[in-house]
Amino acid sequence: MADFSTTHRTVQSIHIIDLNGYLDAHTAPILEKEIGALVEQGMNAIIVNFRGLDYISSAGLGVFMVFIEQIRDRGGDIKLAAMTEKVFTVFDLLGFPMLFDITDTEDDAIVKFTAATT
Amino acid sequence: MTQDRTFIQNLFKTDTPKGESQSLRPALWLAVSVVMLLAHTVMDVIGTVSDSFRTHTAAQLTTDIFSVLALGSYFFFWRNYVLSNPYTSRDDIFRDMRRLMFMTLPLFLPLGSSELPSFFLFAVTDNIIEAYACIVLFFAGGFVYNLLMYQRTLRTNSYLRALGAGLVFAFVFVAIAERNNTEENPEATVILVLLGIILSILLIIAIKRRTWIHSLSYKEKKRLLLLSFLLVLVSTAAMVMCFVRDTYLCKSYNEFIHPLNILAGFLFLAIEICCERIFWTTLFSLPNTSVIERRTFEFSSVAYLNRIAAESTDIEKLYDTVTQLSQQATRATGAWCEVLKADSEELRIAAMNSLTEKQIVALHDRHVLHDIARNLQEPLLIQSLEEFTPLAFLSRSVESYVKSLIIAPLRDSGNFVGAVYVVNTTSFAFENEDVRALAAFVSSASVAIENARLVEDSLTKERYQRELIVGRQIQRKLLPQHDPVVTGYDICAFSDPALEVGGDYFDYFTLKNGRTVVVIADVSGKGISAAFYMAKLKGVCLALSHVVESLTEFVEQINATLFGSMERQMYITLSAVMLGDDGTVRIVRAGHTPALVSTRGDVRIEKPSGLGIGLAKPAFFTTCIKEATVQLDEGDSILLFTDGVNESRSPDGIELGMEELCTVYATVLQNNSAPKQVIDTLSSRLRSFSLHTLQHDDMTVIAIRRSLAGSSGQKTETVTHEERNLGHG
Repeated sequence: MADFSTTHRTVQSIHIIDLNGYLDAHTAPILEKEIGALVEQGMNAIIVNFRGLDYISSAGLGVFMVFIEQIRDRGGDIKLAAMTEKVFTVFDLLGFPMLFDITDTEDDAIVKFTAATT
Repeated sequence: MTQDRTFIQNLFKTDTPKGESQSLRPALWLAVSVVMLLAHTVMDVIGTVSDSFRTHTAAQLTTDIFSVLALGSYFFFWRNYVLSNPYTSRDDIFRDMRRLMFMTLPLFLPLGSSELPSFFLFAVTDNIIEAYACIVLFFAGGFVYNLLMYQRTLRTNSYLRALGAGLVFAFVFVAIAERNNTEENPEATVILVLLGIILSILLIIAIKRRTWIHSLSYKEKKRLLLLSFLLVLVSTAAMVMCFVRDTYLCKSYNEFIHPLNILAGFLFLAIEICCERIFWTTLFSLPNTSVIERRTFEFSSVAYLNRIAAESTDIEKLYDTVTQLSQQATRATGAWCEVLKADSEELRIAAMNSLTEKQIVALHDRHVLHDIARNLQEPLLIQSLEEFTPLAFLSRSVESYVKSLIIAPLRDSGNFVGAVYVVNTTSFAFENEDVRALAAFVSSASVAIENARLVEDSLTKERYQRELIVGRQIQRKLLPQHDPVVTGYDICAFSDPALEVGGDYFDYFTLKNGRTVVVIADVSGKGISAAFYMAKLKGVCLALSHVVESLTEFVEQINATLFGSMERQMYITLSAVMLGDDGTVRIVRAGHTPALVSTRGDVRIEKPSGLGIGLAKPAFFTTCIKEATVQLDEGDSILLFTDGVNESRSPDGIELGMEELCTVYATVLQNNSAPKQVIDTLSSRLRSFSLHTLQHDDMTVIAIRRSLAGSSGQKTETVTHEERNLGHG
């Protein structure tokens, strides 16, 4: 089984999660737990950076749905950034671009967050 | 067991494998010997009262012949009996020793009376005593024989033959030497003494295996000691009486057949030697009894443990057994066993003996005991709780039931899985031997517990496996069993789940307006949960198909019904295709993998905008859905599939991809193939692409072809699985 790992950073009070490896039915619970913990802490601005992600399965996509409503209800957002073309295709087919803010780069996402707060 | 059989039953039993007729033999021989004995007695009594008869040579000869015949037939009875009733346990030896002693005792009754009485009544008594003495003799022989055979070695048989030959030789020798004179013959005596010594040495060598004595319990050894001592006394006395002329016993034997006293003397000597050996061995093994008892207990408890582990799937019972046996092995006043909780690092009390849970909890104050147990490799002996610093603070509160204890960790391949604790109400109650015994026992207990766990796990797994198979069968029945018949279209479908139950779904419905809708869907995730949502989806589709008319409404209503009732991370991608009579095909894509459409030989990807079902509220969902319309002419076709198809992988991990799938589809269509052939060719292509490696995802493909131009207006007919079932009642 290909590995999956995440690293966490904070840029201008925005929490950034870098994804690496495979996100599928087996590894999705790891990410779900991590995002869940952030949401619980009251984190409102989260960017998920997909640069290092090689593969995402249907179960992996579901993770982002779990918390989006909760975080948006209190005025926050989860933005998805820097997807490879292949990963984007998966999101695109499902109609995720209509649900989520998906940006080409992490900086774009940061700009959008800061623009929203100012 | 031999004890269960009665003496009488033993009489009629032989182990000779020659058949039923054998079983009567011992009894027959016994009857013959009794008759002969009676005849002999009659003759003898007549001889006693009538002097003329007594001096008659022929009469005397007849009397002797009868006694020989009686003895001979009794010998055959004895042989049969002894051979067919070998000692099978130590209890048999005990039993025969006891019997032998009580049988020998009456021989001493007429002690001192060296004169044979000449009355008629006494003549009868005399004969009875003679016969009895002979029976004792045979019984003694049987005892020696069986005792030697009980722990038989390679040479035992040779020894027995040598001993037998020695006895026969002594008998014949004396018979010849004293034929003509009844006085003592000094040379003959010397030879007899020498023979006695040789036979004794032979016998001593023959009974070298006496290990059965070592494993006796203390109580049994004491009994054996007493019994063998008494028998030594009795047999020595009997032997002396046999050899010394003028004693009643000697005369009785000689009266029966002349030098029978020699044979009897040697036999009593043999008994004496056997019993003496038993006596000394028992005496010397007495001090080791406790050690041997403990070892025996250890072995038997490990064996018992393994049997419990093998027979019972109840692991709790195993903990109980381990706790009880640990307590017994160390002669402790209480014991308990703790094991790790499932999927946790916490310990729970699995079993306890002679202690209450409250007492054990009190011992675990400040968790010191747990910390000690977790770090142990070998059992730890705490001789006095008071003097053991880490636990000294406890000593007051628990002194009524624990003053010393041993902690033995249960380890499975090095990992700590639990611990056994044995306690004593007095300090310094345990010995190092107890620690060693517990260590040995606990290490095999660990293995038994681990085995029991593995068995339990595999049983659970097997049960799940069976349930998955049932799940798969049910799921298969949720999918259409046959391709539908739709006027103007040829349709063929193929579905193959990756796991036992999958998340792929397809079906055919007839909407309220009579149009056929082909639905293909993929529930996110795999396995049981996906299968449940799939079943739910089918129900929703079926219900909606009776009330909606437009395709978009159909899909929107599916989302409206399912949204909110699904877990947040679950969603369904779905494509619905409505087949118009005139070749107009409408496609709605709810997040599903796009369809491939081939018109006039050109293959293109049809990907109208849409959102997965269960992702958004109905209002938002509606804004995302765009219906696409395609006009099909004769020979044009559509391919619907799930992502398992375009994402199928080659052995080196390369994905097939949409572009490649388009190319493959175009090639397949060039031969103007019917949907059935398209499906067959595609699935064989896919198989050769993935080279039969483990299927990554479920795969479903539906091929649709417009078959007849101008057939519009005819009524379409679909046959779905349910409708077929309804039709058949």
